[in-house]
Amino acid sequence: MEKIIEVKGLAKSFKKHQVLKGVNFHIYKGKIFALLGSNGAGKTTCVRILSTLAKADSGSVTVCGYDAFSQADEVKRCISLTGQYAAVDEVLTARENLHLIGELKRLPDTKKQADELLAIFALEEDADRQVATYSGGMRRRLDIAMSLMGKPPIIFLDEPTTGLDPQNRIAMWDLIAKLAEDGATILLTTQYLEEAEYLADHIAILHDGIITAEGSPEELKKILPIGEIVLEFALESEKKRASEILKGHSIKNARKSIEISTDGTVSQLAEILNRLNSENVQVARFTQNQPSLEDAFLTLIGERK
Amino acid sequence: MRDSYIMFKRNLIKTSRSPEAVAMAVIVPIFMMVLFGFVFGGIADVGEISYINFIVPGIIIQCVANASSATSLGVHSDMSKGIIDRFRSMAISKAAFISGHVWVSVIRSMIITAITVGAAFAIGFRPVAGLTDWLVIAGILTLFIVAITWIAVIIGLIAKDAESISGGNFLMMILVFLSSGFAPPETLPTALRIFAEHQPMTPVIDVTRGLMIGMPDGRALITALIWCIGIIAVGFALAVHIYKSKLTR
Repeated sequence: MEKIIEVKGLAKSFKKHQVLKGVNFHIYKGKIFALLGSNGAGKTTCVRILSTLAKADSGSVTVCGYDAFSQADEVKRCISLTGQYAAVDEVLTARENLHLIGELKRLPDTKKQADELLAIFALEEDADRQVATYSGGMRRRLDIAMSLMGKPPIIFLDEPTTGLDPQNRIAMWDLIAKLAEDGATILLTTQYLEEAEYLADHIAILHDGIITAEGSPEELKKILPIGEIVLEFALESEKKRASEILKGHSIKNARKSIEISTDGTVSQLAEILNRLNSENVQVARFTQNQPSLEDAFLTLIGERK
Repeated sequence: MRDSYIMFKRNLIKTSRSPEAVAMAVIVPIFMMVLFGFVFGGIADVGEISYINFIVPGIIIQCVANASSATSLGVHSDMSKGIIDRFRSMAISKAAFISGHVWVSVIRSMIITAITVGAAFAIGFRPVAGLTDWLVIAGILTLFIVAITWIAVIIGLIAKDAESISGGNFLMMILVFLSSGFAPPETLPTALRIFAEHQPMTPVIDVTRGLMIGMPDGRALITALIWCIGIIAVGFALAVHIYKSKLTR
């Protein structure tokens, strides 16, 4: 598979504050890559460097085979950036906004592409109204439509769903998935795990200036150290008995059940179940919690409460 | 060049979308002309020429200075919104963004100047300038407009918010009054007189007035040219520098 973006040892400081401390990752062509991190983790800084808007202090960035520092114009021609704040001109209409970008990119079929995008993004009816009258969701749609003028092979989406209502958020997910289906490579940043899990082929967790973990959503779940089992009881007395027997394990009490943390190994699991069985404890239900990405994330960044 | 033209078109559309701003730009010069011509015309004594003939250049400069704040606001609002990042992430000329603003601003100011002169005629302005004089006047005023536009662009680039822009505009207005525009500098207290005689607006006003009333002032012409070209050169370099340094944050 072809690596279309390669980032090595990326470092960047703002005054004394070091935001990126050596970030490494690469993105394969046609894949959706999610850069996951909490607020202020440096996701936006990363995207700005990749899209040539900011200069890194050290490290190298290759996009489409071009160096993002010395060949900025070539890089700019194969990317599009949709930032956190809708980059639309409020005084112009949606159509004029699209035409503006098309003209600046010297597209031979600006009008046709603009019409197509207006249709795809359900903006046809409002195409000739000033953007100032648009709702937040409409602006975001227009924003992405503008990014798609000229069909760029690489699309950067910086927190594409932040500030969208649930309905628009789902619509945005569908859209992003469709863009990847059509062959675009997508780098998106997000603070939402479910978003990364749902959309991405590959996730990298950016924390404290470095990539703390990366892999497919499934792989990330696997590296999680904890496996949790839940035992439900019909009788309160049985629940108490089980808690007594399993003293020494890390147990959380819920209303009708207890949650036990394990290291995920079969032997530990067997030991727990054997002990309950030999004492004849009546367990109404046994379930094993799949660690969610949320757990993985929180564990990895050490902020688990 | 093509990028600049596209940006110019964008700003032209934007200007036409705010009719109230255009209307203000047209009404202000007429209002100023009437206000100064009639209100102070009766009490002002500026020698042999009528007060209305005296103040037309000053009013033109005032209206141009006033209109330039629209440019500052336009630049500032673009810089503070996401749109600038979109332009920057595209392979377009870095200067195009600024020059798009500059050209619209220059054209707008020229139109305002023409309206101001028209309004002056309507209330009794009677210049004696011939065709060549008018061409020189047009030339020097155009240079001045370009110069003030670059200053406006710089204000727009460095302004933190709209309030600081109106602050900058206020300083510009003070500069207009502390020039030879509304009263001969000789009538001012010494400190103000020295300031008025050595600031850039005064020679531009003097040249324009001299040509309009048939008393050309060669020395003022040279001073005005030096000021305008100097401001344009420094302003251009500074604006591009500030813009670029904001890019590479």
